[in-house]
Amino acid sequence: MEEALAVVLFVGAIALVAIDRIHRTIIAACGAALVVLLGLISQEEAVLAVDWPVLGLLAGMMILVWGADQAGVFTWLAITAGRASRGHPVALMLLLTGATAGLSAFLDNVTTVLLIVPVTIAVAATLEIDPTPLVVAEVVASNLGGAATLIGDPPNIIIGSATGLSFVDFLVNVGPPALLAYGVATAYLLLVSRRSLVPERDRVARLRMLDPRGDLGSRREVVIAVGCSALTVLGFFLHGALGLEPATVALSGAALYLLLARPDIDRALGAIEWPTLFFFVGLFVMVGALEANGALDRVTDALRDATGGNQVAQVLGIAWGSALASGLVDNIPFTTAMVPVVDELAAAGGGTVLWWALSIGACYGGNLTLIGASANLVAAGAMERSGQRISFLRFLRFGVPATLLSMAVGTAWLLLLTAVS
Amino acid sequence: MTDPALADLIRPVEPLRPGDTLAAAARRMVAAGCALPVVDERGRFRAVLSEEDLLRALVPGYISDLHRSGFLRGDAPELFRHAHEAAARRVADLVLPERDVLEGDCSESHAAGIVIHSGLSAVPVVRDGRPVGIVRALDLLDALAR
Repeated sequence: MEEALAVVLFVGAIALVAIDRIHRTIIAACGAALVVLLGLISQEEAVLAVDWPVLGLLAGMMILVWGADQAGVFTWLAITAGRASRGHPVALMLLLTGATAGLSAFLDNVTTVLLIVPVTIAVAATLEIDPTPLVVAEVVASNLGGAATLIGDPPNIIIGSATGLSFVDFLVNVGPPALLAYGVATAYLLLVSRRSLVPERDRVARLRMLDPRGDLGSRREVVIAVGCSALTVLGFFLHGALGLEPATVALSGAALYLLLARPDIDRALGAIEWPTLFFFVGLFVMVGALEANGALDRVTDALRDATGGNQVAQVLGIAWGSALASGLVDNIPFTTAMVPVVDELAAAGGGTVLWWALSIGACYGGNLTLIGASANLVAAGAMERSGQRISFLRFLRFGVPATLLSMAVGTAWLLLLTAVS
Repeated sequence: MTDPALADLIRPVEPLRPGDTLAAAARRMVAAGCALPVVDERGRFRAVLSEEDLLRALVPGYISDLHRSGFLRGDAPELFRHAHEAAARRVADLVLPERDVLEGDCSESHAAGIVIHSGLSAVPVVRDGRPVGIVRALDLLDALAR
């Protein structure tokens, strides 16, 4: 009875998040309150179910990103990329999406899209070309770039915290396929949209009117923001060797930035997306209730039976199942619920490759539909405010082929990892 | 000298209607020098149209989305073209945020509080669901600083 109730509440919460009529944080908070009040998980277990390092990592990075944004670093990067293209469609697409993928590897995808997309629309407006292919390609690049590192996308943060796999482990095992998948998906998007990206010759000269240094802060501001971010990234590379949690690295970097930059503390802490953190808290408690009542054991057994314990079948099932699920529902609750399942399968002989399958599927699947990832909806909102609508179907025309191509790359990589493991 | 009562600070104003174009709304706003109340077809108060709301509606969306716009050094080629096209839209097409208004008889202190927290250049005074006037931030400032 308790098990069924926990499942109904969790599935109901995911469905409500997908419908998007009530804010996802409110849904998660109510779900968490209900599972505790109904006795599906004890209060003590609920506190223990929350993965605090995930929250610490997110909060630390949000402060650092805010600092770099205050110093105008991201605008400088996007405008420099746009100008360096000299209006050439291939260069424009590669430079803007390359910058997006690179930033997304270290920043939250939504933040990256919020920073890059309006600047891209400004570049497209200057060149008088359709911004849609560029923006869609940036969304795809953002979701794939985020898949490359431990800190780039919430599913990876959740997996990293649950497993103790290091930043370098992620970079080595999911970095190369993310880079390849970005290349393949971007090549496809370029192929189908290159004609709409060719500006009139006289428009190219107007790129000079976009000044990359126009929003750059003082040398001191830039040095502190970039220096603290670079030190933090260095810390991520070394955290395994130093025995530090990624959260410790991120929060230490943020503390150093606050000490050196001395920003208005209310504004700096206001940059932390508290609704996102509370969403995580609610989910962790709800998944804790699923776990405490044995519901996830049942999923594990079903997966084991369906695959007959075959490792390749498990890898393919987890990767493609995760991609499909993440294309339709929020990949954060999905990954959170899958962690105990994959943990058991991996320990029972599936090996670490199952974690990479979950990572690749959950991250790449975000490109499948417009609702597959928050970054997609944020980009569509920005486009709509500029009078360009990206409908669900229009996104599908780009998203489905891009996801299939990137998942094909990811699958080949996973099979290679399985073969050598 | 007696202190001015809130009633003395209320200016009568012709509210904007759903069918008004943004061009007409802009002209009326410039003439009034402040934000204006919006009513529905039956004359009932619906929202406040602020200068910021109108600017957001007239400029290309990416400009208000940009965290920083200092890199835009030249004239945006489509800025005035977009504004010209957007000016033909109707007030009813805008999604305006909910804002506090002054209702019934209220104190000067409450009015000051509402003006400060709304950030509006003028706050409508609403009685029985209909706007009877506005209290401009500048008029309040003038009365307080005199």
